[in-house]
Amino acid sequence: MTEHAGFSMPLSMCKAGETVHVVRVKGAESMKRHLGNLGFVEGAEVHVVNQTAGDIILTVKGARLGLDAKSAMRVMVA
Amino acid sequence: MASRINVALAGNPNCGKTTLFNRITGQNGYVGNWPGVTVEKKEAPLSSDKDVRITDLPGIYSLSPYSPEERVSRDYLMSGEPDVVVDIVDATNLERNLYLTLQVIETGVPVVVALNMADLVEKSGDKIDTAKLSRELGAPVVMISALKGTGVDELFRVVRAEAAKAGAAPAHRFDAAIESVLGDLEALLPSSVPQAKRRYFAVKLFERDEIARGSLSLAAKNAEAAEKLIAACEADCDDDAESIITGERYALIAHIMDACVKKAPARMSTSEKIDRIVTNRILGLPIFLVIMFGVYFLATSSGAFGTAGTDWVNDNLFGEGFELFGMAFPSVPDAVSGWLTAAGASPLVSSLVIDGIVAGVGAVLGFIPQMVVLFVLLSFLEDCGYMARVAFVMDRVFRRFGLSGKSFIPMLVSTGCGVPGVLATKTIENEKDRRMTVMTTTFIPCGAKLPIIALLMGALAGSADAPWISPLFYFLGVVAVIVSGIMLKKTKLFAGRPTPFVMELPNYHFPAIRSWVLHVWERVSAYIKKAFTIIFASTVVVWFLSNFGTASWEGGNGAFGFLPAMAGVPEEFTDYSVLAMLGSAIAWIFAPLGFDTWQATAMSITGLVAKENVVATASSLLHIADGTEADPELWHAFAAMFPTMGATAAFGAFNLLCAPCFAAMGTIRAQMNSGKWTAIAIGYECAFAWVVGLMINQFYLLSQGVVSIWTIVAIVFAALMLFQLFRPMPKGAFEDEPTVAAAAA
Repeated sequence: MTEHAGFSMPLSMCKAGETVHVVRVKGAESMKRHLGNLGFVEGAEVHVVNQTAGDIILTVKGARLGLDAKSAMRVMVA
Repeated sequence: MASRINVALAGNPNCGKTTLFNRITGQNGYVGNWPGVTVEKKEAPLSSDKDVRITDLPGIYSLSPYSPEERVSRDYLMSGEPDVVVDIVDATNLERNLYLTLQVIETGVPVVVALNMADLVEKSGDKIDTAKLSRELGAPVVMISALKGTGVDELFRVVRAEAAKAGAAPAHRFDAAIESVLGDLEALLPSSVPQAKRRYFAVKLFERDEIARGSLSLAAKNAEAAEKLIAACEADCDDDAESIITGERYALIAHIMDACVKKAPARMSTSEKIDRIVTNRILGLPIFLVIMFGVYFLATSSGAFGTAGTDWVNDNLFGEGFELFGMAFPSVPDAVSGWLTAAGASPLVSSLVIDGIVAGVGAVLGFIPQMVVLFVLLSFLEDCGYMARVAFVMDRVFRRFGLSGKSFIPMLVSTGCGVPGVLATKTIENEKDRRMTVMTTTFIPCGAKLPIIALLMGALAGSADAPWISPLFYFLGVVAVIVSGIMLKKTKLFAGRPTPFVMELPNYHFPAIRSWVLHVWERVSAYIKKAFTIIFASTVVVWFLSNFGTASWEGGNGAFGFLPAMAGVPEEFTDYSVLAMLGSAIAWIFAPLGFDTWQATAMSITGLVAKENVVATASSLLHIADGTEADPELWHAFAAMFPTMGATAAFGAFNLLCAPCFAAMGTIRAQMNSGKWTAIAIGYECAFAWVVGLMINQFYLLSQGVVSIWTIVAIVFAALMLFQLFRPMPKGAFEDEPTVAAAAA
């Protein structure tokens, strides 16, 4: 896994109303696969609807999802 | 040729699949389990044409083989059985849904895309060009509304046309670089793989899908060549093969979306606005509590609709009879006993029917109005989309004790009845979470346990409306769930990485009346079924146990038979019944809990059959005619059974926490789909209930200055529980993820 140039941060740090793009997904194979299937692929646009202490509600690929902080930390965005 | 056509329905969770299935089959679906996994499979003929068989596949996001649902769907699609797949696509969520569509098309089975809820999309101002979409996907696209039933005839006209065709390889193509690798892989496949499936297996080979690869029996030389191709491509793209394909599919979808969908300018949707409020960090929980208070107020508080219905059933239908439109109707027991007398039934038969069956089943039926109100409200909250948010809000809380936010809905439903409660666990994908929820959800007091609580209230506080006792037992149930969650999570059986919580939050909408009614019916009928099967049988058994026995009283002849009909039988004949013998035989088990009378033991036994039986058994064993939980006479007799208040409370705790009724145990068996896990669940519940009862009784005695060997046992148990609660998660239970800081650096 190479490091991407430029600034990226975990999705769990995003604020409500922000729109960001997925840089990469970290973590165990099964988790990456699951998040990938749900649309967290490189470049996917993520719109943050609400965020409480890292737990996050967002839209990605046209669907609204709730993610707990642990999962949201795996998704690096910029 | 009017041959049979097998049609599979595939689609994402929540895309309207079940609504469509119910509509086209007239809800005569046969519900069964797929072998080996806890996944429901529904099958039924099309109601307008019996030669078309519909199989409803589980709702899934992808066709990878990593969850039981996905595996089952994939195996079925690849089995050669379905002639056509109808892929139901939620048009309001097109981008996400097309991900599965592409994979279904890749299987090479003829596909018809049913664009559901297209009317909602039009309303929002977006435009979908279906002709173009059909061209891009290489499959016919039909607009339907599963809810209103529009477009369904057209859908099946197209399905019939497609069924006549042979399967074909998918038309859609990925990026040229990936395509060239896929082409090379396709050439490596054995010639036995048919043309239509070659693309599918090439993609699976690329993804390193072990199951698909295993089914191919690839020559060693070819397998090696394939691995080389894949590794080279991974190096080129700087990503793993699976992610490459996922990315390619989404890239293709982005292209399709551009070509086929005209989006109205984005604005903040109503759902988004509501979400900002109901999932708010500060307001989220209070809003939820207020809503739940409202639900239970409407269902159970006196004077509200649910209770009024229940009272009516108990007082009139099974009590004094009732008047309707000026006509007097006798109550059910009166009417039945009238028929029996008229038919010249023997006292034995009358006793069985009136005291056994009618009384037992009647006690259960009385709960139906409350149950209906509760499930109408809970199902509304689920179907409108709010419960998904609650699961999200509660996840933070539940995570602390090893459960997922998704465990919450089963627990809410269990406040009505444990049977639909255990059934509701099927939405929890993670197996460990699901098993743990099944094991703990019946700790929550269900409707049938309320009379026990009321009886305890009377016995402990001498008043039916001591306001603090009832919440105390709910609290006990909730604490039991929490404590069990924390303790079990640290055992080998449940240890594991906490499952990530990822849940789709559907748009808020007013539920379709039809599916709402079905949802309620599903739950209420589970309860009614229980009344007429398990409870029916159990009341007969309990009746037999308490009415048959040996004439061993003074002057009795020692014969075995129907006690009330024996010569010289004392009024309190149950003392000589089989139930009394059974109770005495195992009463020693409960001695440390403070209740070793055979009556208390017998009540617990009948409680295992059905909690509804406990109060009725108490009234018959304590010789209080027609004693109900609100009868002070029964309270006193009941309280007199126990040496101390501690023992009374221990009895209550044991009966509320131990294994639920037979019906719920049967449901646990069905959900666990494993005898071993069923035994673990029920064994744990009983052991936990016994230990809690022991601690309550012994610590009460200790506070009164009574010490025995059991005091020490109770202290040891308490210490063990505290240890298990507060020790850190055992090492090696799961390896930790790399920290964010390290990865972000």
